[in-house]
Amino acid sequence: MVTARQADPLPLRPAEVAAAPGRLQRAALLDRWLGSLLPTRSGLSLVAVGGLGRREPAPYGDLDLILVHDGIPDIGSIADAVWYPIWDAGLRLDHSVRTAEESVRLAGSDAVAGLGLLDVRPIAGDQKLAERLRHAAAISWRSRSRTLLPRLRDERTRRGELAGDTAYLVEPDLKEGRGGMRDVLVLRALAAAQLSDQPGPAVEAAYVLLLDVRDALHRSSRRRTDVLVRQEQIPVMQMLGMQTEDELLQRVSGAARAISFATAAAWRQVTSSLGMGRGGRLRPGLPVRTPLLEGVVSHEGEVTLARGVDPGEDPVLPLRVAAAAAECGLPISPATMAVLVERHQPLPDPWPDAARTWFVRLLAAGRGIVEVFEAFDQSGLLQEYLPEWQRIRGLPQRHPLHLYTVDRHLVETAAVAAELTRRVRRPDLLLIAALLHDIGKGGEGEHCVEGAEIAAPMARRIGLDEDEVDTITLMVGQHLLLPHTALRRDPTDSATIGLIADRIGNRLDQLDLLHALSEADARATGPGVWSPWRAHVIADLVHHVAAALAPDIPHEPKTSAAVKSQGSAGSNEPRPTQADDGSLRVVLRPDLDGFEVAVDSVDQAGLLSQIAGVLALHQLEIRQAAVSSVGGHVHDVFAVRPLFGRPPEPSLLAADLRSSMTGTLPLAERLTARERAYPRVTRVAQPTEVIWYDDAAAEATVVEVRATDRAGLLYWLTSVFEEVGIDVISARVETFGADAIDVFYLPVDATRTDQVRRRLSGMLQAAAEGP
Amino acid sequence: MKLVTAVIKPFKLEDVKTALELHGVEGLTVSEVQGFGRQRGHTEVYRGAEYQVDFVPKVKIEVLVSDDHASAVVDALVEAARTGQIGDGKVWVTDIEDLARVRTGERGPDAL
Repeated sequence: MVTARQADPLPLRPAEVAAAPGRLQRAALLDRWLGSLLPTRSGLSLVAVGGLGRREPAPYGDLDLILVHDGIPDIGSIADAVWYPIWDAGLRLDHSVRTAEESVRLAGSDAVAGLGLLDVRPIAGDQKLAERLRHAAAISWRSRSRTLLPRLRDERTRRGELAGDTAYLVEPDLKEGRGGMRDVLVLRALAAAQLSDQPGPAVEAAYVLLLDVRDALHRSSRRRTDVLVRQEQIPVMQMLGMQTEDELLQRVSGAARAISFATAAAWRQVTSSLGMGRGGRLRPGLPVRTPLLEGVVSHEGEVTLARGVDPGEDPVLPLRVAAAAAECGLPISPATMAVLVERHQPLPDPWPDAARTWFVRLLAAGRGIVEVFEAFDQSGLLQEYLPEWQRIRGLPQRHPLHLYTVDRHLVETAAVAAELTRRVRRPDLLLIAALLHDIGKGGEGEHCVEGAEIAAPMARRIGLDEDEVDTITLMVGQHLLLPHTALRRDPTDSATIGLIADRIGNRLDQLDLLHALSEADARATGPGVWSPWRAHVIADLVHHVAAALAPDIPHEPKTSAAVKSQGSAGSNEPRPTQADDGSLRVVLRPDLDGFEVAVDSVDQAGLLSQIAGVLALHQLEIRQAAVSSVGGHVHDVFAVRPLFGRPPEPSLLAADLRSSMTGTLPLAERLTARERAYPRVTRVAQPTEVIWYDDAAAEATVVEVRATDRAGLLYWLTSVFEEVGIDVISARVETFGADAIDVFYLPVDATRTDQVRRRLSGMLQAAAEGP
Repeated sequence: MKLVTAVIKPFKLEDVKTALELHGVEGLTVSEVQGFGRQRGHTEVYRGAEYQVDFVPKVKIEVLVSDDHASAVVDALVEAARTGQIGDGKVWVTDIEDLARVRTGERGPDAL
């Protein structure tokens, strides 16, 4: 089987290499043996890169070797004499034969080769030659960094995406994952290029831990692998003298987090030092200081505070920064994060309306929340806002289907749920329940039951009312109800249907919420968990239960005070301001989370869309609205929030409204121009849902529009009705973070046929989605 | 040796598993499959969203048993999987020529 081609070299078996007591001993053993393979001759040197170059070869790792020569003609036969004994010994070899100049030239054009050559270490042969190579490689790395680093970053991004996050995977990749050992090598290389600081002791300690785990993994599995698979976790944990697999995974997670955090910071340092004024910017520059949300701007590809904004004066600011960063997918600048941590004010319990709104908008942002949650976690703000998070932080899962630790799974579930908000009447409750559904894990009892108990006070603190808290409790407690029942009970059996209906309080809206949560949970668990097969089995059950429940028609707005009010703000409540000329009255009244605008007027065609348009034009975001017309008189109430700064005087609103009613204010034109000037941030793209309800009310057909909220949404939607000449009898508008649900009551006669409804649906969708 | 294969309704899997365990069956293979028999597929509309297709989700079970055991296992399976409704599925038995247990290399009935 194994035949030594030369008499001299002592034979070496992979098992002997693996059995070496430590990394240094293993390196010495390999050095000695490899040295014996090389014929003595000037102008010839055997050098190691990779693990052996760093004197930390893994028990079953590859040998990365370069045979360096100064142009020896019969180098081929010399190489054979060196490589064959290595192959015959059964060791894995990654080899090349080059002159020093060839090596350096390659390293100058290939980022990965350049990185590798930084670890070059002579093993045997011509020392001077090896030194020359090492020196040239270091100089080349520094001088070529401008071209190499962007490629290295792309390569790391690509590998990191393939391997995932070392900190959050239940089977983490210790080497190539984000936060894995490769990132530390990159950190050292960035420091070697003199573009960032040397990795600190925390990072080096994390690196040693990952090395120890990888060595134990090799010895336990007896093969070359960097993925800490489940079946090896117990033996690895024992070899390292730890008590439980969870301890092992939590320590790996902690190490990977430290590495990830340092890596992100170092790349930012590199980006800015390479990008300054010399045209070699790694990231295409964004416009300087673009306003995102009140007090929050983007600057040089990061989210920062606007000038003069003080976190000490606005307890909600950190959540607004988080929402802005998640929505536009940019990192929060470390300086901003530091200021927020130092200066932020604690949130009252329960949170004010504004805090809840921004929190829901954060959750609705989709993929962008992953990085934001990590930043808030590292800074400690997350644990301050949600102390219960500590229970599941970095907690591994003991289930074969799970890919992520519990905390990351919760964030992933919320990110998936953000794609499903159109399916439910209450996107906010879906998102919050998605974030909390496994909060009961890690305890002694059944996690759904414990989770429901933990989630209730959390939901109350977030500022939900008791009905909403009940819904969250139900969803967390029953988040496995649909998948479990669908796989165990006959969906056509009335007993099954009765059981589900009973658990969800016979409410169709709860069924929709649970259905969406089931999908989000499964899709966030791992690839293939939400298979078409499973989706079908669950949809079948939901379909049967839904058929047995009464339809849930959106309730009609009350004629007044339909806008949810936070009540009086106390004795020093600012007084309402108003403009009144007899035929038109506009009252502006501050409430806890913005302002209430009440408009009283004689009715006229298209009035609702004109009011909505004027409010949008004045940068007022409509959060809720209740509009109704009785006997030719209109009383509309809007809860609004200024996008930036202070609201306008009521007299200005009234004046613009009057011009709009007389046709002298081109609302559509002005609003379109405004939208072009403020490009919308990227959010999860979801189609607009238009749902028709018959028999909802005696004299009205109800249409519900579920859309992504944006400036002027109500204006564009109501313009559709104006365009086709349909009078809106009444309307109710609600926003839940990034989602808006607008319900319109329309005359039955005008909306009877499917043809009319299809046409209106299409127009409403186009209006909601905008240009 | 026989291979007993059954295609059943998904929610009957637990019942069938329990019944087979009572009959001394020590291992079985389960796959999620889709198909149709006389039941056919159908299109459902739920809240405006069509959620289905031409095929109905089913579970496929495969069990290896000795010759003299096959008939009893089929009976137990049929009994446990039956709801009396259309779409309950089918069970069939095929001859197995040879069998090996990977871990030990045992062959034939010893590997059952």
